[in-house]
Amino acid sequence: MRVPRVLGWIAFVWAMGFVAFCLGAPLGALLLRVFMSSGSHPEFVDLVGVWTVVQATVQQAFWSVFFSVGLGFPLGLWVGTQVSCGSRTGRACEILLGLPYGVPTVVAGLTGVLWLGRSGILAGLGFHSDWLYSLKAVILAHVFFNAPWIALAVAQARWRVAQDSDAQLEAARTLGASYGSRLRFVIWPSIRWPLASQSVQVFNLCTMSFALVLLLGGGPPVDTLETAIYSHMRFSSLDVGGAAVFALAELLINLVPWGLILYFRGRESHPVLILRGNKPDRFKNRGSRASQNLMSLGCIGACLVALLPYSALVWIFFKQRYFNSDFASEIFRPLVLSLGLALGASVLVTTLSIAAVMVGALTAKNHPRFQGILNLALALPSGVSVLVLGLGFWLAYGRWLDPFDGSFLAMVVLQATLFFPLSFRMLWPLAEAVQLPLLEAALTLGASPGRAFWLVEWPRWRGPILSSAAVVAGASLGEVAAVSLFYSEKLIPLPLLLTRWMAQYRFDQAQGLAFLILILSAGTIAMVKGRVS
Amino acid sequence: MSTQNRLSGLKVDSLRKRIGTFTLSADFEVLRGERAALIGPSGSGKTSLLRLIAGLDLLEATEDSGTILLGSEDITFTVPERRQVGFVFQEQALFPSLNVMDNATFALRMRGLHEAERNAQVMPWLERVGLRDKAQASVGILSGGERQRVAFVRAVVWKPRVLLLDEPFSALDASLRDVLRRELVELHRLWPVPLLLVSHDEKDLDSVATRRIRCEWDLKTEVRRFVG
Repeated sequence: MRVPRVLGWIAFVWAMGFVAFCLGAPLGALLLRVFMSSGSHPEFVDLVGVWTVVQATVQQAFWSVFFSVGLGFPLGLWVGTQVSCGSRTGRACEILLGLPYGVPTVVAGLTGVLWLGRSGILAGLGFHSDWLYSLKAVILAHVFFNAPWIALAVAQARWRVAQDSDAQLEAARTLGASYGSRLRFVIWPSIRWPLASQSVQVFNLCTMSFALVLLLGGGPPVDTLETAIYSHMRFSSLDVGGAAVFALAELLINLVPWGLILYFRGRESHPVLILRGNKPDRFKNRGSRASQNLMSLGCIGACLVALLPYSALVWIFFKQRYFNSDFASEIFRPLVLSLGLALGASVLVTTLSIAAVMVGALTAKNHPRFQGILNLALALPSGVSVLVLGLGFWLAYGRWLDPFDGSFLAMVVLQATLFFPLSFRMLWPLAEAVQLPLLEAALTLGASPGRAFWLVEWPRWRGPILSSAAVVAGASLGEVAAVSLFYSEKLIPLPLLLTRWMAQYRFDQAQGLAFLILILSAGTIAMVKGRVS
Repeated sequence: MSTQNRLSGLKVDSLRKRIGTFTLSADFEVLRGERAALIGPSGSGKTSLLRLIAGLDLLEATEDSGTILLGSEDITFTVPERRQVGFVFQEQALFPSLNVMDNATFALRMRGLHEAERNAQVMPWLERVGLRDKAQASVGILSGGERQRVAFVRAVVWKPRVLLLDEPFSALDASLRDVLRRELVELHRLWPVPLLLVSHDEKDLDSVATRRIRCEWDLKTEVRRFVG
């Protein structure tokens, strides 16, 4: 099946246009601002101050990764070893370990306050601590957020070992290898790159963490690059040049891990020598049924621990009643705005992703090098913080949008840029697995190209597209960084209302709102995923 | 353990194992130096029997019975890593993260031998199968035949007490099979422990096996019995 040359060019122009508009122009404007301003007003750059903030950011990210890997690695290994992939317990563990990532960061921040506050749950149980509004609280929240993700990556890699390298594990046993040797020679080579890649991603996410640092760090006690950028733009006097310097520092810090992630991903495709398919379930030497059940229960229990902080929210919700007419009238406009934002971001991201995936599919055969560049360029937004990108938008497109007047469109575009790599990664495997022989068979049987695609390919694409749209909508409902740059008094979505209520010490209403955001965000993803599956 | 003891025979005594809807039964002995072939149709339990002998599957204490003896030692419930059984897998199961030499010396490494000692022991075997020059190569770049040779050397070089081979030639082309059959017989002559082979290929049976153990399939009772 030959692809017309003009389609390839249209695809090329589209992809480059997207990269230029959403990344090139904003980041270019940011760099221009830093270097032009520093040339004319060198005194505004307080390098010592920037260095202090950089140190604090790297420090909190390092310790967050350290503890996340320290807890997540053994948990993932244990779950991956004890529970087989695809079994009921395996699926339950997978869902439980994935759940924390569906929790919006503002909600996670609020639950941190509920547990660690002076009159919080821990204080009620007699454990008084001064962790709230300190680095410890931020790291703790990051660990609860990220350790399950590390565990999930390790467990999935371990399951792949059982599927792809079951015979190697057995061969190692017959050759006399102990569990430690099997871990070192068979399991570790397969899980080290996913673990490294995930750890670096966690580092990146922790340096870009905004809502959790804002809510649990308490501002000046824990000043990271993100909060520094935000305070230069939205608090006290407006200092775009100062914000741009912090943004550049963050961009530089994030570029190194981002490059490492790409390197690690390339290494993940470790050669596995298989001549025939193995049967992962054939290894039956696992002890009695009772001990297996006990291990399964243990795995589920360990995975549930990761959800412990958020259980407080559910418990408080059932204990108290928030939803009255005052509450409803106060949240009505933000709710409509948030739903509109989620819908807009979801439609825009899905459309862009489908187009990008088509570009990839069209160029895969004839232009593999271009495809590589495209993949790299389209993955770039995931290495840039929302606030940095938002500041770039502010600088590049300030002529057309006034941030202080609020801009719904800017919120949608910024969120779309933020979530695009996620959606692209979900849909890209579809392009890699286009079944050309089937399409050609449909064409020889008289179907037009459009109809052939609709009948042969679309059934395969429908599910992932809906899933991707739902994930973006759910994530948008809880996203706080992009909206915090372009809000106004008339444009306040739910996550911002939550942070505002917390700042006003309206914790009761904030709890009710957090529960609502959680239900909306996680519910959207669960509902569509359930229907798709 | 003396060489004489290591070269003792394999005895599968009144073994009965429930596998899904059928019962696998086996009662035979393979003497040292012998090369026995398990013969039976697909699904008769040949591979399952090899896995039971290797310890990769175990008998259930409640519903299964029988013993597996190596010489006078009962290994029925011994874990695979202590059985000293050399196993050549159908899919070779080489470790992709290790090179040819490290794959071949794996079992010696597990037994605490130093690198120089390991390499000294393995090099003659690699030379014999024509892989001396590729000792440091990644196993990923080897051809199918070369990978199979590494698998043979890895299984035999540490002098196991029995050799089990599960359709070792099935993934290779016809001309290569003839060469490897000869090499296998030569390697076995160097270390003549009991050898048990599973294959569907008559040529394997003719040129490698010195004895055949057939499956008697009772459709009525669903018992598949290997006797020799």
